[in-house]
Amino acid sequence: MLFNSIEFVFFLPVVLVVHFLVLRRSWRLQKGFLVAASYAFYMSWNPRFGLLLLLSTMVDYVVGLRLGRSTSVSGRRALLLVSVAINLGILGFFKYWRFFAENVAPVLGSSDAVLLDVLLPVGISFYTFQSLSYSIDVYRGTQRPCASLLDFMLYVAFFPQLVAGPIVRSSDFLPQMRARPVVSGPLVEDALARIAMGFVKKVVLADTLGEYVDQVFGHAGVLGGWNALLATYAYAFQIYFDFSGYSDIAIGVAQLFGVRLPENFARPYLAASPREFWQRWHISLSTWLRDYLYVPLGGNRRGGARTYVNLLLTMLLGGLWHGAAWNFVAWGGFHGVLLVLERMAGPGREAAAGPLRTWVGRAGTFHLVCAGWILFRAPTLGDAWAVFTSLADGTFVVTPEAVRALGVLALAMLAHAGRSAARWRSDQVARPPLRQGAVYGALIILVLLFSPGTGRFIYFQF
Amino acid sequence: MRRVPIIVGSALITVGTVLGVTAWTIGPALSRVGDALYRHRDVVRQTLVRHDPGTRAVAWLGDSTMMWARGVPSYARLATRSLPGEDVEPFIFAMPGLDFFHFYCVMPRVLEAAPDLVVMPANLFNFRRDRQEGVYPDLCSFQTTSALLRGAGLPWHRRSVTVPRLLLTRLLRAPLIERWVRFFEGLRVAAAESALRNPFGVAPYALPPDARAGEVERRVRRHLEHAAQRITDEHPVAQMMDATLAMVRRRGVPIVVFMAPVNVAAVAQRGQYDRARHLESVAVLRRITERHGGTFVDLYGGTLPGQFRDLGGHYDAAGMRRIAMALRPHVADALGIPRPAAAADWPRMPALPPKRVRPSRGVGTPARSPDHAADG
Repeated sequence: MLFNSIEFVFFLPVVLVVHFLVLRRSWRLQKGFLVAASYAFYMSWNPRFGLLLLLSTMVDYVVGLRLGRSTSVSGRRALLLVSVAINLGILGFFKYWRFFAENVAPVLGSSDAVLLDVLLPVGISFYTFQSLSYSIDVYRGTQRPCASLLDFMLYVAFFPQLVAGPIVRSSDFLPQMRARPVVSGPLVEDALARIAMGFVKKVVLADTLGEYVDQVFGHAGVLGGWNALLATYAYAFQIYFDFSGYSDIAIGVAQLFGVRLPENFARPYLAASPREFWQRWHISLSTWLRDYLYVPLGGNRRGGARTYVNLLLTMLLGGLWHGAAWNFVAWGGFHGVLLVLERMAGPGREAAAGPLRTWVGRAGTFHLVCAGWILFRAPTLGDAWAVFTSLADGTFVVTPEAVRALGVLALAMLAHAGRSAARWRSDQVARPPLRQGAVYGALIILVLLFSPGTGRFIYFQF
Repeated sequence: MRRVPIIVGSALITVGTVLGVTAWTIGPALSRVGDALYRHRDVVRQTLVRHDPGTRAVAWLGDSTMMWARGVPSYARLATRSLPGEDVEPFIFAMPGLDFFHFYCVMPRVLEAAPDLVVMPANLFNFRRDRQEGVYPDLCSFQTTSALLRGAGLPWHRRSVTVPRLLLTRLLRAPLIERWVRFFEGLRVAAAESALRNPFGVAPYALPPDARAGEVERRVRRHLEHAAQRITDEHPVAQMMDATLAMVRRRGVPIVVFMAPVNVAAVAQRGQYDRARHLESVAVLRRITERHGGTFVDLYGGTLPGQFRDLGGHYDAAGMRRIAMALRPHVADALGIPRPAAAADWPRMPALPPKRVRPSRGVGTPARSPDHAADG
């Protein structure tokens, strides 16, 4: 079920009413209902994949309990291995089987018999990482095993963040489940502001930019170089507003239930270096990769060369996490190389930078990130190359979509670089309720008018 | 917390006021735009009325290849009317892009009219794997509650149709809600096409000729690729076909399924034809049809290369006539009436091209008129 779908318009009010009015006496019942609602949310798309979610949940729940009881090092290691093997096995089969078969089958001289028509379950990458992180935390001793199956099921399946994050750590989520969260007026008002902002980001900004991006990347290399450049900028903001819009809605909806989810973005295009970009972009994934991949690989503790290898490996796998295709691998590798080069250039340079250097750093980083987005967005590496080479062509073909994209891009840039979202929200919440409502009403009309027939969130494919 | 209901209430009042004033002032004009969007759908939504109780009703389902004014069913109408001693009335339930997902949705309405025969094409383009388009929600609304329960295990998710959506779409049967939906669709389209979205009135972009040639070839290849792919029992459209035929069978209505012809020469010319794979696919479709007591007619190569008016699988008048003639004996058999003796009794129709052909695009250009856009 998409947040911007008619089903969700009915689903959310029903869940809120049952949660707060019907079941308000028992927190346990409320949690049980939220689990049921989350499974209904997930299974409405394909009921069978609910079993997969349940399997992943049960494996990590049982592994967590056993890890809590086990004292032997080898036993604990074996338990963790079980969790890692099952979680990554499921993810590998559903997400990477076809990629593996397509690339390995020709080498083995095999026919297309191995090319199973495996359907990718929505959100599998997100909930697998979330569930897996719990087992690793319990293994490391940084998280106590969760005794309540209900709490753990809700941790993995909580519908606002189930299909596209933010990836929540068990240490952030499970403590909130011990007692009924306090749902205060200001929290709900902040949630409403977030949700409204999220929809505007997604439907008005991201989807409008997407029309132009589709036009240019759909005819890679055909339109002029300025078109390719404009489309690349447009895509940079499309993917940002699409995903951060989704995250805002997810965080806002969770807040309506009193649950706090972590922030996922911090104005990433104001980053003055690739490293800083990853501290601001998809924060829940980048910190996951840092804590559960980069650090276990040795991080920066084993000398310069090993650090570079670790960085590259982490980013390559991070790229592959986004999708089973070579362009995602290339995108990950590209960012890995950027991080290695930055580290080679020496640490702590940002601290000494003045305003001019900061802005040069921001502009440079933004353009490097945009180069990466070409690899990310192009359907194939060949198309990406065609877009890169077309950048040298100095022509601009004026199309209605290009004019629209220019206008929306200017708005998007202002929205990104201007006042922070948190300040906008706090200003909004400070307004009298009637005025707040009128603003939301106007935004709803705007979203309704811009809503396309199908507006899938980009990050759903991951 | 007391402020929250006021905020929500005033937001809803704002939305209601704006929409209400819009509906009051320019509502009829917007509704007309919305109605136009549903033009084809109205054809499918029509209630079957048997004009003469003495006639036999044949329900023809299909996509754009079946829906033209001078399309296959029109030829079939003449063909079946000329069957000896019987009066056969065909009803057409066709619009662009329909496949067995849609046939399943619309079948309860079709069966309401107690047809004597249901004819459906298995158009190979509809079996393409990457097909993502949704199922028209208003067609889903034809589903009865019992059919919805039976259909719970069907692969609706392949077309982004969720179970709640299947339930919600039933609201469309309420005239007031449907009227509002059409008004709102009109409003959305008007907004999308307004000067605000294109303030400088820039002309729509057309690919340059050299790029267009490459683009056309890419599209043709992709299109024909789908016509040459393997179909298995597990294919989502095959699953829907199975469920659709089961629904018809339960009502004891005879079925004729035919494999719609493909431009075999174009497929072969691009090296995309694999005979073994093709036979395998035909066997699957035949097996599903025969499992439900139906008749399967393979017309894959049933037309001549010159009988297509584009590479989107649309036939010219001669092609449509040929298909109608090929189906005529099977229709007669399924209705239990004597087979026609020969084709000599065929009343001639002028072999005019359908109205929507765009000569400027030339031969080999996939059709892109609004009617074709959704077609597989």
